[in-house]
Amino acid sequence: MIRLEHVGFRYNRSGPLVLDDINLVIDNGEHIGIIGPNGSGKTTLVQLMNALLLPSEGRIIVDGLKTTDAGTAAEIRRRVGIVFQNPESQIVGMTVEEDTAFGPGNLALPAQEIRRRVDDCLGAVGLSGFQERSTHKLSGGEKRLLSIAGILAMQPRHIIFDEPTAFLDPAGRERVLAVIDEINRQGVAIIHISHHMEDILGADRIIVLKDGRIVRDGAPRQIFCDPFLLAGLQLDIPAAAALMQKLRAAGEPVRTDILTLDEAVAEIRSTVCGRRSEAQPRVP
Amino acid sequence: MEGFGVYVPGKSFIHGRDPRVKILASIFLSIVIMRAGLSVLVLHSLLMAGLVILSRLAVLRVISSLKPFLSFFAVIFVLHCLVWGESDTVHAVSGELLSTEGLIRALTVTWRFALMVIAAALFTMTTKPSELIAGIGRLLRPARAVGVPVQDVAMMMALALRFMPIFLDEWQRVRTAQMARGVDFRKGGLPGKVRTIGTLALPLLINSFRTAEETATAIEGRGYGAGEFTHLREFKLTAADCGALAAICIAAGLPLIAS
Repeated sequence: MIRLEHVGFRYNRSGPLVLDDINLVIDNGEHIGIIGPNGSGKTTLVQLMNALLLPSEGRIIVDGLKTTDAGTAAEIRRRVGIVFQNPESQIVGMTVEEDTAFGPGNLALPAQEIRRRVDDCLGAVGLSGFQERSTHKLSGGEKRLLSIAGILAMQPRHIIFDEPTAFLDPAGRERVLAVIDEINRQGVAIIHISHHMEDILGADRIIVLKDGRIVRDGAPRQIFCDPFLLAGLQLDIPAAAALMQKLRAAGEPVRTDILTLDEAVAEIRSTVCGRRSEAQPRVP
Repeated sequence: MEGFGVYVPGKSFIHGRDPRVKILASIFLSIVIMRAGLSVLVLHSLLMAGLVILSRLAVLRVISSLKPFLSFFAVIFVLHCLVWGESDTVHAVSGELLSTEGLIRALTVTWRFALMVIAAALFTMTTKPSELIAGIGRLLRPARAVGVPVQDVAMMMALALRFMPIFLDEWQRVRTAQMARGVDFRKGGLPGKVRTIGTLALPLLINSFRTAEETATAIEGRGYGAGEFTHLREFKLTAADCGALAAICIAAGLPLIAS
């Protein structure tokens, strides 16, 4: 469990608060989406969670360990992994297996255990058989998957993904999202920063950050179907929700609390059927 | 054409040896070869040939690593032909042209360098760069007692190796981007070239600093710096490692002592 209590952060003593009075509890196994415009403090927030940054105010407790206590950083980083925005600067090994072994190596595990974890984690992200490949020659999607395997190999209980689908083609994006879902199914908590609302429709909770504060914290349906909230933050509305809102604005009596395309199809179909049978249109 | 001594994956006896053994053996071989005379060099060449065969590398590929040094060999050969004798005078100038003594000396020196190049190539072609660095790190471990951050130095070398190709890619990218904006890298003679290198270097430098900072954060996030670390490969000297090192020392050292 990660608990943030009245957390404030500034990059230098006299600087402005980049994060202000953040209160947040992330339960074990939870899947959290974090959204917010550029500069709202998303990356700073997650770096506080694994002691890469220390709070200027308040405190952060990871599985009972306070990040500001001396000597806790190594254990906290083992428990909270971060997959950074740019896989290129996260990959440090010349070959795929050497890179995956970097994290477990830092935990000073015996060679046999490292080998087992490397092979397991490469399998989990679909890179079995890539062990001896040069990291430099991987595709963008493969680099991203490798950076995930490198974190998985440390067996963290929480994994932070900082825009994991940025710069990926649709197929690569699908693969990465499927891997993240699978990791979550194994009981690992996911903290997922994204600019693509479609990527985090399946999250348990969405946190909305703006100017260093949490402005909303709720279920995806509450957040994404609020037309004023997302527009005010200059964020995209999921396609299905946007469609329903436009239909509604055009006078069609459709529900607007729709998240996925499947739901939209069902709703439109039921409205059309209702009209065909000349029944009274349903008004939500 | 690949660069000098690029690692060739393999599972030969030589590939499998501990990098420390290979580093020590290479240093020992270089010292011994440097002091060998013609007859001993023949024996050393046979030894080297044996090692190349043992490595299961393509023999031609190993020999072709001499290529970049050919002009160097030519120069030292000619110089040694001309400069010989007790006083190291330039005999060609004083009228006494070639002599057997000069020829033998030129041949010996060139042969020594060629053998050393082959030894170095054989070493790097059978050792992963990462293992090489880990090996150096292990060998230098005693230096930690006097406060040298050996582990960090080894990490820096490994990162330099990893980021070299990225840096070259970046160079290409910046170049292309600037050509698209009308910079002509062929025009302007030498002063023009110097100026355009400046325009390339600045964005590259800025990019490198950004990447370095991101990487520093990332490796810290992956638990680096917590203390001891281990490798995928266990660095334990086996009987085969010790035996191989001893065998090379005897095979290369004995003829020298005997002569």
